[in-house]
Amino acid sequence: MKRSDQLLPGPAHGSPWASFWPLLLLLLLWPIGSFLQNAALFDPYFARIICLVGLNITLAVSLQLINGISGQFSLGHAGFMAVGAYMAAYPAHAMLATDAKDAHLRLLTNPLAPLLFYLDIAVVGLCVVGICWLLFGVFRLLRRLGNWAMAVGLLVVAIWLLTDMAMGSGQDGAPPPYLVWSSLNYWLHALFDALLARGLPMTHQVAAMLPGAVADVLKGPVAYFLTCLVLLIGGGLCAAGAGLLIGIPVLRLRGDYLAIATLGFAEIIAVLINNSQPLGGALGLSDIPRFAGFGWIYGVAILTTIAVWRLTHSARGRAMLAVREDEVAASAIGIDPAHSRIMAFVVGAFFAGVAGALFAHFEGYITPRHFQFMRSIELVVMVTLAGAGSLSGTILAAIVLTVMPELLRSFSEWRMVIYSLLLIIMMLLRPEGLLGGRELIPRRWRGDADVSA
Amino acid sequence: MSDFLSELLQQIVNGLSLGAIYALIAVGYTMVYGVLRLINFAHGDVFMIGAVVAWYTGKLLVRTGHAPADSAMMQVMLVLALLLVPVLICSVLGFTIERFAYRPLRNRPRLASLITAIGVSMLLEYGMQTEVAAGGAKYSLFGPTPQGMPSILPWMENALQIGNVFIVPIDPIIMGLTIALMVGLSLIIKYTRMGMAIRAVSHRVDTAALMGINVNKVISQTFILGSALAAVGGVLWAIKYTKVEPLMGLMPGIKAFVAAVLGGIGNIYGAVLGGLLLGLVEVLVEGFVVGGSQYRDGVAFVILIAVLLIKPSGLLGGSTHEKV
Repeated sequence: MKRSDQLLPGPAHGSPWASFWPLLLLLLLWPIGSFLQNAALFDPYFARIICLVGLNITLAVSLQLINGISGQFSLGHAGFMAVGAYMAAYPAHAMLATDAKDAHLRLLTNPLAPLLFYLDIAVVGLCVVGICWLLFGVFRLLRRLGNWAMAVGLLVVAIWLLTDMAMGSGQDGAPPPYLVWSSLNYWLHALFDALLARGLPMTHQVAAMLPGAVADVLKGPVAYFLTCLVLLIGGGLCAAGAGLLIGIPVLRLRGDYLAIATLGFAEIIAVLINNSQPLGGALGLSDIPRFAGFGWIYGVAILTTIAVWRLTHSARGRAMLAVREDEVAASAIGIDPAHSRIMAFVVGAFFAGVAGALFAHFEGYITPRHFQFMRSIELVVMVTLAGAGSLSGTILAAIVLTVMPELLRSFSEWRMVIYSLLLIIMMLLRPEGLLGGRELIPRRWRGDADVSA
Repeated sequence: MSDFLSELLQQIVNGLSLGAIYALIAVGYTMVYGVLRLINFAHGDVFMIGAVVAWYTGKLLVRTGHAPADSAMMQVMLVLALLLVPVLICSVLGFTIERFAYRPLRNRPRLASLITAIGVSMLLEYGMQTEVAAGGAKYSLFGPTPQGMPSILPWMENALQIGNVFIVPIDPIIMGLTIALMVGLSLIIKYTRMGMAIRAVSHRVDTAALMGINVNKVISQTFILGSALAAVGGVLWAIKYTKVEPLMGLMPGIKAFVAAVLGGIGNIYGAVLGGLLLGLVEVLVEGFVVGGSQYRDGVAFVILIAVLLIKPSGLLGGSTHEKV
């Protein structure tokens, strides 16, 4: 296999995580930053940049797992971010709508409400997966009958879906039961709303049954923290589900085809969100409680970095690297490439979803335009600038590429032109990235692990 | 019933005309992929530049009084000018892009070229959009606001009516020109040395080089051919839809790429077939599905995913076996 056939160069090396200095730096800065932000000592513009940097660190590190370490080329990372953002913003937004219009953040005191929402999504998701599995069985049956049967079958399904959508979209209220797809759509939306609304009275009932001390805890800062946590993790898990959905079909694709397939999936997600009324459509969701500040964002960034680092320097991570370098050889020694690839997608999508949820709760409003192709490209550029497999490089690249457009704001008209010129020059002069795939660790801390080339 | 039929015919005409333009752009994508195995993200923006140059040419012709013209010969000259000037400029542009952005990275991993392609695409889009305010006036290469194409040939605007179907003269012109160009291209590919060299390089680069083919020259020629076709597509789009703006290449570029994949990437006839099919399906979905205009852009991506999952080599592409 020629060197130029590989998409990405460079191995990932590094010593045990204790000497991974960017992590230590972040860990040190985190309490300081949280304190300073709460004390409102930062100029708001500066604070905003720092928070965006933190978000981009999480996103870039999760993309590095998919692109750099498992060797796939995903151009659809913004899609995962969008799923996480909308799945976390929707319950938060709906919770606010049903409660009284008080100070926003005090209303996030029902950890059980979003929890029930996500559990119900999981149940619905499993049902949908079951239906898809049945359909896939039919698909395989048709395939065995020959390509023509399959083509005709798909055509029939496509025509049925289109007429169903066409006839059902003119209705207000429940569509007639013979329109299967439209009914499914309608009842799914009704289900989401009902589930969320049900969660709230139920928590009050549960709280009423608890002894006084526990009920107080459930209403205080612990509940607030738990609610935010549930929202973030729920968003992340929904995005992980999307990662699974996307990761499985693209297993058989390589290189450019994989890139275009992930791009296509991200665009489909964007189109679906655009046309979905409960999710706000093209206008998006606003009035999202803004609980995500420096503390949450950098806490998640630290956790993501730790998780990805630990995954990379574990047996599964080494399996991913092996699959990246030579898939046939890896499967010859017993590594399942499908397993590695899917795991990379799911974990990467999870953290992207959490970052998306944080973004939604940081901005306060989200529209599909926040998650377009350009966003995916910015993240891919960060990962490329970092070099494949280099986590310290990714953090540096995320910082540089978030701060640079802001610095260029003084040339506001030429900003994007300079950005694209810098991109081209960077690829021409140093395509292997800033650090060339190596980690930025002082030599004496490197330990017994392989010293990088 | 005849109402539905005439509606259907109308949409078919629209769809084929749109599809022909997609085919012109898709051929460029597929040829470049064939020789370089690179998805040239900047190709949609070459299309846009073609339209912009056509707009400038049209404005110039109107301002110097040459258009609208009376005599038939003058009209022919106008049409030639409108077509040839963008073709010339876009060919040079395509050659320049390949020479300075892609050639240095030819021995590097493909990811680098892909990202450079994205960078070039962004450069072209934002370069056209940027406005500089100096001395009270705004200067730009084009500016962010969409402009209307000046009316060069007034008879273009009269629609012919056949039954209930309205055919604007530009539609048969688009289809005729596309057919002619495709025939010309396949003649070049089949019967000229340049075409043979392109086929050889698409097949195996190293062996072609061993046979004495100047690979650099062949790749440049491929880019020039592809960019010229994209420029023609740009001119036709500008005349048909009259709206010219710096971001107009984004969607048609992606859709033309989907068309190329649909037909089998690397296969020129596949690109044409894919372009026509995609244009047809898109227009039919928009016309006949309630609320279809919202899903119009999604259709291309659904087709893309379906093709990649079911038959990644496309309709006319051969199956690719991985040799261990």
